[in-house]
Amino acid sequence: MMRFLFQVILTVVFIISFPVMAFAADVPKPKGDSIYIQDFSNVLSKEQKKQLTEYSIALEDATTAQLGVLILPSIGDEPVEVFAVEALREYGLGTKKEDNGALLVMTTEPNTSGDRHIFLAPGYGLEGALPDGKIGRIIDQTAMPHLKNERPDQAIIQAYQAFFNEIAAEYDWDGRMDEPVESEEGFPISIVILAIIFFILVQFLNRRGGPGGKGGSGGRRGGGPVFYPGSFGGGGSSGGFGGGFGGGGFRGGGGGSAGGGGAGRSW
Amino acid sequence: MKKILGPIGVVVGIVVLLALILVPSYNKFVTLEENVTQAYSQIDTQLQRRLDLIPNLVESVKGYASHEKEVIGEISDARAKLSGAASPEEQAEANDELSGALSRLLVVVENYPDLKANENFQQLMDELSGTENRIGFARKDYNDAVSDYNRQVKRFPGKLVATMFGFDEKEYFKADEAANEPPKVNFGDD
Repeated sequence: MMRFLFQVILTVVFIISFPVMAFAADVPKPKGDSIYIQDFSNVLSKEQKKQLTEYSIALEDATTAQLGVLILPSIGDEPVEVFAVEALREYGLGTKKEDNGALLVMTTEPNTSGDRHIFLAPGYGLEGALPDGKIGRIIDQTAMPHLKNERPDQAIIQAYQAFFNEIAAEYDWDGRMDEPVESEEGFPISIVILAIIFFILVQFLNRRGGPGGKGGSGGRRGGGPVFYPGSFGGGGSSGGFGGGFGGGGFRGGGGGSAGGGGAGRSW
Repeated sequence: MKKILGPIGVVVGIVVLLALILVPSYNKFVTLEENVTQAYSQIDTQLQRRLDLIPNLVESVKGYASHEKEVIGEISDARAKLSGAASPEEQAEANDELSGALSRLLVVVENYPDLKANENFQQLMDELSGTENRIGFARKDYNDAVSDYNRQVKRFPGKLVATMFGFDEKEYFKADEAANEPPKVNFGDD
């Protein structure tokens, strides 16, 4: 009986909460702890994914702009320029005020015309920094050579890097991503902040290690002081991040929107 | 004294009741009309952008494929028609015509690898297709806004307010496929 009651309650809760969480049929629900890098085709290695996520977090903290990546096997025959804008709107990349999000979309299985897509959609607020012609040229120069060699991971990373730099430049932020993600050197953003973010991430992940719970010991390896997000209000970061991590919250979009801009190629 | 108070009370009651019904409805109309205007200005901006891009495109095509006079002529004609169009419906029609001409151009371009590889041309095509996609979204947003507005015009008490204050039904920016048209809501009062 209790079990039945429980199920009924669950069902009701599910139905009630559904309209809020409903995503358009084709846009997959974001997974993981943050919205930025969604790879449903497992194109990126864990390491690559983690690093891109860190870059996106650093970018948002410095500029409020959100740069996301969405890789998925297929979007059927829906035009990618429509899908990308819908996905950006669903994920709400960028702030509601500035609409300064951008989403790099890639599909990895050919549709009925034999095309796989790569496309970047900017939010309204980034159309100035990323006009369609520039987006097309960046994809041509950074992603296409790697896609010709069937290296979608490199294509994503190189294109991401170029778009990251454009957005950073738009905000006069000097955290340019000059080196490819694989190499750690030559990364001039205050690396300390990143290290701290990473450290917190590790701490955080270990803390919520689930029933197994033993992971906690790993985080102590460094032996350093334990930082909590709340303890660094005065830092260089815009403070956006206390909320993001507090209480195990999901770091999601800021409610930004897009109006249909962008450019892409098929591969 | 009581004899006068009775009728006055009734009149005041009716006025208050009318105000209670009409004022919110009037305000809603103002908001909805503002939404329509705003959505329309989005379309207008993008159409203008498209008009601005075409001459450059024509120039760069002429550089590589000057003898493709037919398709170049079609594009110029459609552009002229679009810039002369006044109502949303005329604009929609001319815009679709221009889209058709541009897609024929794309077919022709396949025969000119040098043109296709030209960076300027590529950039123009990116700008144009981005603009086209923006027009698509702006059109949808506009039609949604018009649909909300027109629904209000047809319903009570909106119908009453619309007649009193001259809120007329608005034109859709018709899409080329009927499927894209927002559903016409009929509440059985017309």
